[in-house]
Amino acid sequence: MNSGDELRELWCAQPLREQTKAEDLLVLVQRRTHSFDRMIAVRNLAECLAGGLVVLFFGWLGWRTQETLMRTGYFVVAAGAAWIIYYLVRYGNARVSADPSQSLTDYTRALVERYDHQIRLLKMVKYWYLLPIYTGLLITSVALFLEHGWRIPAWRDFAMPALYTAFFAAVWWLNEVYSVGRLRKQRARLLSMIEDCKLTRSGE
Amino acid sequence: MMVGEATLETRELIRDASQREAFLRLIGQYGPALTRLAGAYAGQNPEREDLFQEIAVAIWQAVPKFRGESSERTWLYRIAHNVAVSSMAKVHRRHQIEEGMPERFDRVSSASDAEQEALRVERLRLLSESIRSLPVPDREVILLHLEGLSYAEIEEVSGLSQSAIAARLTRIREKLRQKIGGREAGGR
Repeated sequence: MNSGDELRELWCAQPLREQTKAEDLLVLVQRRTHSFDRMIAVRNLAECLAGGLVVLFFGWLGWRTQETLMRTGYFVVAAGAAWIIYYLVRYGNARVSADPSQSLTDYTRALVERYDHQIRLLKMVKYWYLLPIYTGLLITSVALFLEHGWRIPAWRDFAMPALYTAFFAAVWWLNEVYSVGRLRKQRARLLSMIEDCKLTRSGE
Repeated sequence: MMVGEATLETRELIRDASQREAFLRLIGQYGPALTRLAGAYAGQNPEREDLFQEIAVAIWQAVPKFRGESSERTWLYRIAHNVAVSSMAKVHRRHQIEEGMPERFDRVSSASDAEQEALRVERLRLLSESIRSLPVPDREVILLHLEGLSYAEIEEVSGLSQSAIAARLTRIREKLRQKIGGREAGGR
């Protein structure tokens, strides 16, 4: 071994198993593209519908309740859900496009920008997603507690707040710790590739 | 109004048909090269096949945007390499595990000399492994070279100057030669 031509000959002669026919590949590609678009559309619709249901349900509860603090709590939850729908529609789907036909450096930079956008969105989850609804629920819990008059609270009084606090904490952890951590790792690998390219280019 | 709508629909149909036609032609022409490229980034199936499909999806989406500012071949390879690199970042852990795994190649049954054929298969495995162990910019350059792109075309895809490409290819080829030769000698 071997001249460059020998290497090329060897490389191009490798047997390719399971080569998909172009027509079959086209069907696969179209299916994959459509299913991705459909998945995004379904996810957006589900999020908006769930938000809409929360708005309707807590709005209805607030409208029916006479007690001021309880009513405030319900309306805060309903307003929080409406705000989440707005935020998702306004910012959740804004994607920085990454055109793969540009140079490797430009493409990876566009991908890094996309990672940054997703990380920003996930890191803000506690403010735009969790805090409004959590505040509303806390107000309703306080209102419920006051309804029973001033007394030493029993453990049962804390069951519901503990349950939704645990749920919100889990959502926070999944978004801000797990997902952000995963995206940061991918972003770091991309950045190291850009650095790799820059270093080798400047060295020549 | 009806005429306008019909024209719009017809235009869309023509656009869809030409996108389809261009895609089929590109895959027919470059399919084997793209499969080899996917193998140089993803190693074994099913990751290899998955990457190949990911590249095909990117090509399908990019076809309507192709303006002919660069040659079709360099445009296609640029898309393929970029998609492969971004995919590498996503599946880094799996990829690292795979890099340590020896790749299997099917032996061609028509070979008359079994020993020669076994040697060829072993060389191919070593070459493939060695390419996968190269850093991304080196991998891009050697793959384009092995696929028969000229220095000018490699320059268009990678952004490196032609003199830098020549120097780098000499270095990479030497490295591959040492790896393949060294492992072959060690294996005997």
